[in-house]
Amino acid sequence: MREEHKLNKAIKQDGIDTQSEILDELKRRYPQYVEQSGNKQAPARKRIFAFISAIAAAAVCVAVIVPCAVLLPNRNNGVANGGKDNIRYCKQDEYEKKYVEYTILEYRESNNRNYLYFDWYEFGEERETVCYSSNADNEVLCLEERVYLPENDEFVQLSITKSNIYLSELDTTIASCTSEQSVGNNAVKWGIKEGDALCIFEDNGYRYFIKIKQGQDENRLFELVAELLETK
Amino acid sequence: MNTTNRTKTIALLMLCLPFCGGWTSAPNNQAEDRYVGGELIATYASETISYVSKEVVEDISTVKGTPEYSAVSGMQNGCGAVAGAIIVGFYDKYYGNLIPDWDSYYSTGTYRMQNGTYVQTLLFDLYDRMQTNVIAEGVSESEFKNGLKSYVVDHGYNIQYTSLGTGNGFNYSAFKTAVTNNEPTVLFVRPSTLYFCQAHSNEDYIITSNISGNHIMVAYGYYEVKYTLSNGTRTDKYLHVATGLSGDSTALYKVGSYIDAAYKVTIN
Repeated sequence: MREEHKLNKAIKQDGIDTQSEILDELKRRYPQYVEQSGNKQAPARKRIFAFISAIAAAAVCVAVIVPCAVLLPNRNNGVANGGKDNIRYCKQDEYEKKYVEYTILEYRESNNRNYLYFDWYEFGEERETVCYSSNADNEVLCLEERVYLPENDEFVQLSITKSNIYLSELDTTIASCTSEQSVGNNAVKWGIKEGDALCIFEDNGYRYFIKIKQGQDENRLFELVAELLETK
Repeated sequence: MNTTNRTKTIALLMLCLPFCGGWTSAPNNQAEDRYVGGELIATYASETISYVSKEVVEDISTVKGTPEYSAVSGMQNGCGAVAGAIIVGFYDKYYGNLIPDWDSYYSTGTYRMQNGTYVQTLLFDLYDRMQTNVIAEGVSESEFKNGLKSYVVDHGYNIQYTSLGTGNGFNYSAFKTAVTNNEPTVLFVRPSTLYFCQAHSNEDYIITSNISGNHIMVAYGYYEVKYTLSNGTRTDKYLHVATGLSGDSTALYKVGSYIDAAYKVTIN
């Protein structure tokens, strides 16, 4: 439900205001988070109780949380580590995709990002990098690198987003990765979708998506995750 | 005839004119359905099929499937151009001048990934030839067919479109023959559902997602699976499709879904 709250907040920022619109949008985007939600109205006594509870909770917030927030050091959860706050959901018409000349490694070094990367630049036969940037604020939402490895006749795609960013075109990938496996200390979710092997994991504020075209072997995915983690 | 009667007569004539066949100021293709593409919405797991046994009856595709291209920035409503590029990339393996100075496949026969040079040039060329967004948003069926034909003919080849049915009358057996003959089929569809099947032990997990607008995509294979359930059997039939959508470049499309039009495309 915490996730739902964050999404709710993110959707409000998208300009969707009414509660029913928010619920509809959440159901559409992330039905797993809102399946219990509904528009049933509570009985009057319950509503009064809820009202009193809300006031009490607000009082607790003012008395405890606000002083803590002021007194504790301000942690930077933003760009540098990918931050967990302010979930942002982007539909395809909200960003543009462009082929760029730089690699993920070059982007990492010139922008001081601690991205993991595949160090295959010398032996991949063909490589393309695609940058997804927000139309609203030009923020880089996703970097994607595609490499063809001729010795395996293998096509590998690595996409990186911040952990708080969701792109609509990755929805089915997320929905398809239903199995879980540990690689090092990282929980890796994986699945096979239309013959493509897919996995997702998070590290240091970033979410990594790996796709092997027509790669039916999940163990190869775990090898690739381990290889990525070595570039920390 | 007094003034009132004359006015009534003129008004009546004005009302009748559109039905007289001579009222042709609007181009014919303005009345055609338009295909604007879109994105996948409402991804969710629709069904888990728990089975006693499962038999893949048939899972046949064209040789190495098709290329998997998608629209790039600056190609608003470009699903027609993407589907056309997939067809051109598919046949470039056999007719090398379709994409000049570039092969759409690796030495293994696997189709190459989309790139920012040759495929992008091809996409924008088709986008213009199909007159995307000129008359209205997207492309019509005739704009798609004429645009793709113009490209193929200009590169020295011929193209034939063979109808495989419309509406609920999709000719599945003719489609299967086309796949066996290594020929792709272009589908013109309304907002509809794509399926992604995940196999687990003793259960299949079917994820569905909806295409938000009228769309054009390329079918290149078929998949038939028979489940023996605890209370009977069921057989599911799907087409393999190259969606032209970024992120979900291939998917399954249920046989029997409503299709505006389907054409087997032959280039030679």
